[in-house]
Amino acid sequence: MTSPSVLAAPEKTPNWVSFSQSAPYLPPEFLPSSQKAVASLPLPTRKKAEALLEELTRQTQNPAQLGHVKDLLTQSLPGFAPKDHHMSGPHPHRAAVERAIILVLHGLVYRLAGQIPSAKKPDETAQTFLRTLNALPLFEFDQASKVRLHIEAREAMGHTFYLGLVTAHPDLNP
Amino acid sequence: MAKYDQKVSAPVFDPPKQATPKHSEHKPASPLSPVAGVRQGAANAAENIQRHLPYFPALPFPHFGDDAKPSPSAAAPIEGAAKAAAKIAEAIGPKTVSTGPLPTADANEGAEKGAAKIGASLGVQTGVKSQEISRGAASTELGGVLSGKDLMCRRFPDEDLLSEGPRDPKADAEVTHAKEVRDQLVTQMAEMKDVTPEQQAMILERTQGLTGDALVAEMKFLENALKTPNADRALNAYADLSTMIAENPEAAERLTPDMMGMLVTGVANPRTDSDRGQAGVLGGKQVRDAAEALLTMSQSDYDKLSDALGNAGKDDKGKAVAGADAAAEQALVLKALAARKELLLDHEPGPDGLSKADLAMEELTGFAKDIRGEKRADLIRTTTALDIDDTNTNTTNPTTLDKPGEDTKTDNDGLFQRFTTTCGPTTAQMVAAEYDPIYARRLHDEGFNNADPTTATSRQQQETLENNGGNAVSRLGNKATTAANTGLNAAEASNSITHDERMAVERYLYYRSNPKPEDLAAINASLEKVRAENGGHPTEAEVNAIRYNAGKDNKTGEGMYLPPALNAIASDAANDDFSQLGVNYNDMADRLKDGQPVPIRNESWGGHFMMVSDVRGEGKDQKFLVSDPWTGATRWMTAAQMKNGDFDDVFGIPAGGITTMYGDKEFEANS
Repeated sequence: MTSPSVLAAPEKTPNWVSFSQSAPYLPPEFLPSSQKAVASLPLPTRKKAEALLEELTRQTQNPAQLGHVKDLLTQSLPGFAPKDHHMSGPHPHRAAVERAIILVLHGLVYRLAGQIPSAKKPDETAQTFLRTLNALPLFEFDQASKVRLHIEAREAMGHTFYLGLVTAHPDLNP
Repeated sequence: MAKYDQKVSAPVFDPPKQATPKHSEHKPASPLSPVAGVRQGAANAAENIQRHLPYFPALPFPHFGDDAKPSPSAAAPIEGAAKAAAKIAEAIGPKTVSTGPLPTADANEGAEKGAAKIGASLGVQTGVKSQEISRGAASTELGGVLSGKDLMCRRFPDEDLLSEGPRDPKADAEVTHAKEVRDQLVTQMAEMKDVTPEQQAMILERTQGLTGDALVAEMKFLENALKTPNADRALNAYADLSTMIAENPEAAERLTPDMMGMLVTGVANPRTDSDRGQAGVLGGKQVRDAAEALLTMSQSDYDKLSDALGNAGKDDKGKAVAGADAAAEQALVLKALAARKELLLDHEPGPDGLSKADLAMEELTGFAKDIRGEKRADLIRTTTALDIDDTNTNTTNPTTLDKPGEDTKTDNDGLFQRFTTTCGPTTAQMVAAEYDPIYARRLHDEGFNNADPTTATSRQQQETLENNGGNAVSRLGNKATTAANTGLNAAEASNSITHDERMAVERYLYYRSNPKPEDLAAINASLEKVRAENGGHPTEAEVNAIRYNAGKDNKTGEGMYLPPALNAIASDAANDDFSQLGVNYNDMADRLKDGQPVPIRNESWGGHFMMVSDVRGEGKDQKFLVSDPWTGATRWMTAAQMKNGDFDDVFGIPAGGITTMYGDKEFEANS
């Protein structure tokens, strides 16, 4: 006799999770908890969050698209927190969305930074890219995530190239 | 390309680093608890505690009936009191016998009425039994009401009153002066809008009934109070105490003029010379709670406390210590008493045979001994979590934890949050410390500049946050990432370490790897090379803090609601339950004038908790004293800045309007 669990259709892995999984420097144990947190959001918030996450996975054409990501986040993140919530810090809904965004960013940064060495002006492109990365509205309370994204970028663009850049421009440091 | 270790282990952190407590008898339970943790602290000296104290009558006031054991002088029979009345009336003469509204009894109409008249002439209310008279007038053991050097004068001890010898001209002059002060009091009080007509009537009733020694004593502390910026608040407290005695004359047994002096002076005297230190050690609320504790505690505990208060400001030989302030010590002990009001009623022995009352008393007397003779500035600084002086006592700026020792500001040395979103628990710690100086002292024992996420102060913040749905991220760990990265870059660029060695360090710092001992040795060797090229950073504490954050899994600094933190940390000390309240600046001001710190929430960072501890001025000149757990700063904000949410201008944090205030919803201001 076949057990019901075998008969049940497996839950489809969201595209943003698969996208994130491809990043080499993402701690893999982060994904299940984040996926669960997004799935637990109230339905309208969840739909909005998933749409945003999917939109982010599409910003892979060139490193300059990280600027569009920044604009997108600046515009949309405040919408994930009810204003009058009486709590401290980011609202739990916003926090859940931010965590998922950081995971997607691992995949995105890895892909975009990998394109930098072949850009027309690698130095300028890399500087703009790292400055934009540092300015994303996500890291005020979470510098460790920023460092991990820098590691992702560094290894994708080449650590010697990266080291030369941050040595010449210390402000690029996370 | 190789991924970082995917096999991760549970975070391994160094065991909590407990600073060696300066005051071993106050070693707190873990985590810090303002009053509930008294058991462990007292257990060290358990042998010295009187066990199984007799249960003392419950609220509202104790009975001073047959079970009480008054002193021989206090047990004089009514008949004796009548004779004394006649003699005192003769000795004092008609000029000093009160003609105010209270003493209506005629001494010639019988013993009981005569006793009442004595009571009135000595400053106690009509109907007080004879023992109150002797206690109220002749108590000499509790000195130092106004300052360490300015002890209360007792020119009219009973034996002098009863003698028929020549009167002391100096004492006469003091009585004359006291009467002048009483007249001034009436005039000044009428101008004070924060002293209600009912309170003024009570004060008039009380003071008009005073003569002789009691008049001198009470006018002395009231004269002092009238000269301070807290005159109205002190008179509020005096009115409250007078009301307690009027409603239950037996209360005068314990609310003696000396005790009233300590309480009122505790409200009146500013804590520091800074404009941020204008408020006294005590507020009206603490005075009421302390008075209630005095009236309900057992006689044995009362006597122990009285002894401790009597020793304030003195060395072991009973000599006043230079630089100490007996009045401040007494006020602080009484404040700690107020915070233990409920505990002192619990005489049920615990598993170790000690009741909560035993342990609370052990803490109180231990605290009194601990602070005895301490320099005033240190005493005040270590009994609050706020920066209310103009001295730079902490060179660590919470916003630049990676640059310790470089801060020069004098108003940001208060308690600060160790984690990015523990503003709530930290605000609750501030509130608890404002109510309980023993708790404040414990916080100071660990050092206010200590951002280590594993100290008891930090653990209380972390656990309170995470028990209520939040997630604590170390601020030190956050700041240290920049220094660590700069150092790693420098070390790799100079070939001090290889890229693989760098990756191993990063796995250790940011991916919570749990290396084998030999690999850990290599990582530590790399870190030493990094430190050599980077001014010593990341320090061991910074490494611990970075790893602490890496161990937080995929969570960011999530926050919490404030009432659970307040009720977990501060409720016992405040003797109140905290609720979320609508923002009402008049209500806020009333609470502050009563000595109640008022936590608030604004919209900085989407939600940030802070604490307001004082208010001054009226109308457009009104300003509020706000303490910010993010910066450790305590600064004045105008009413307009408060209403506009201009926290960026004052504290350099994001602007955001105030959405909520917190407090006991049962509170009703006198006005």
